[in-house]
Amino acid sequence: MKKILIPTDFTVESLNVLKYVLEHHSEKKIHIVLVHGTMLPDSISELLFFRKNVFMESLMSDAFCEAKDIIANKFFSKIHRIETELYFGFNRSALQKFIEAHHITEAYIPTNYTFKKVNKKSFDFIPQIKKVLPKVTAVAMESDTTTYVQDSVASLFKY
Amino acid sequence: MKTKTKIVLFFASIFTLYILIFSGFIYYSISIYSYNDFYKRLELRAITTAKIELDQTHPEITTIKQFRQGYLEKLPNEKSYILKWDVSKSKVDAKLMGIPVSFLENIAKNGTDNYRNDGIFYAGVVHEKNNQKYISIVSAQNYYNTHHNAFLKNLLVTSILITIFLIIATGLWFSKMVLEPLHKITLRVKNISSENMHLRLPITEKNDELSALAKTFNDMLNRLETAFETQKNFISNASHELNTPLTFIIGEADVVLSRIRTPEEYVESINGILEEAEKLDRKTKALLFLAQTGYDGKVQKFEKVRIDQLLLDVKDTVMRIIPKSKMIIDFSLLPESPDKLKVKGNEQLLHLAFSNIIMNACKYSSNQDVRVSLGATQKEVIVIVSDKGIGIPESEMKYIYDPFFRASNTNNFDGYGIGLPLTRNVVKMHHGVLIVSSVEGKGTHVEIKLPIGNYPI
Repeated sequence: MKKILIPTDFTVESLNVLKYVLEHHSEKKIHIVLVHGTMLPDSISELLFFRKNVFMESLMSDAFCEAKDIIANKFFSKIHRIETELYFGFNRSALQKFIEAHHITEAYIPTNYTFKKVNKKSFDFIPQIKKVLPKVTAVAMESDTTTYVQDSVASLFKY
Repeated sequence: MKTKTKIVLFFASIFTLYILIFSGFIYYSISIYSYNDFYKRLELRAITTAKIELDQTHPEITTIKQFRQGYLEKLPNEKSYILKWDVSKSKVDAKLMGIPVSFLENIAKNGTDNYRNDGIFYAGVVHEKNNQKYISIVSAQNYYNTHHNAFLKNLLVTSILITIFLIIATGLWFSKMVLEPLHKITLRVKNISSENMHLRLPITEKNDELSALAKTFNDMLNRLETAFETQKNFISNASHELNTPLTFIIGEADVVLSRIRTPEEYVESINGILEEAEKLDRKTKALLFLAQTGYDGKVQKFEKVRIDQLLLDVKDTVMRIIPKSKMIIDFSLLPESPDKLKVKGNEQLLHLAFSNIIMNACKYSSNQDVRVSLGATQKEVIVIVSDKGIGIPESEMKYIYDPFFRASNTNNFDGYGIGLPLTRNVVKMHHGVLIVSSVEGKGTHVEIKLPIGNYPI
């Protein structure tokens, strides 16, 4: 089965790409990996007690989890699995290895979108995706006219 | 018993136990070691004694004698015995020497054995000569046992006693230091009552648990103070709101009755009075309803309510009351399974709550588009009402749930200030959450989350 990569910055806005993929993709069952790029912590004590799942949960806001659930419930029969992963490398070959390890076949990236740092070690690896994966589809995001202070589920419904 | 005493007792007993085990272990090991050491020395002497006495013709005898004289000093109260091993006479021999028979028998059986009697240590070996077994026993007093070990024992006991005393003292001081801030907080909070609710706890720069406690306490006091103020204001607000139409009615009636007027004037006057009376009626009804929904004790009829159907019904109501309104329902992210849209609740109350919010959205955006979206997570149904209206000023956000409160930018719009508190009460009754976020001048959105009813398929 095809495995699709969607980069995310753990905001509800970025899930609009997920919505687009589930609405427009031709396959009957889709397996999606939401990937967030962040650097590993530097200090020994932090690394000693580092647990990927706990770290990911601390980055995902309530609104993000709710929005993911809403989308999952809407496209229930079309989704094989939605995973969330962290990506730690930051050069092209690291991304290549990551993609091979997870057997990712294609990617969908947002255009006209400003990346928001949810963690001070997060980084944007969208430019590298284009160079590494052969099949990359761009999804145009509408520019936000009503920006509210907090990241909320309402961002899902604008499009 | 007090926490302080508990802490001290707990730590003191644990530490004492540990120290006791520790010292006991040390004392025991040293004793065993010194015993074994002493037995070895006795054994050595027993062997050399046997060789000297019994092998007198042996060529090495002189060497052994020199060795014994040169290197083996005489132990205190040292005695040596050599006897021919004869099983029948073993009991008599044992009694003569003042040692148990088992000792002799063990030596004969194992080749060597030890025995201790009250400070006198015995070690025995077997020596064979001309096919005859001889037993050589050396006994002496163990200086180390009587003096050094005894000293060690006394030292350990005294040290333990001193340590226990020190531990209790340290423990008392330590627990006092830790619990002092708690004590301070207790004293300060005692002073806070309904008269001086503005008192707060001092917050230190430290980032520890007690500081977090003080901060949380202060937050709670803030909320309590706001609640108290709201209560105080509510009564005055309510009476003021109800008074205004009454004043108009009384004033109008007085003026009209002051002289004879034309029938048209009377009709006009009475119409005005009727209008104000109806307003008063609506206000009191709303107030009553607010009071009723505010009480959790009231049992309302709860049944299955489908939110998507409810929203369509609300759209009809809104269209009826505000014909120019533009309410757009967004069902684009509706869950595939309709069970995720069923909520346990009272349809009339939920209808009222949603129509309040939506009509507010329409009203304060001067009938621009109001988007109502519906979605469901695993546990909740989420309804989002967003408008592009005047918004709510940041500084007034904390007052929006106060009955009769109207924000400063609402002067061009009609309203009583009852809708939002009413809606919040209804949502609370349904164990839901109401979240309002707004940017002044840009718009508002209201999120209502209700728990899914988990009705079986």
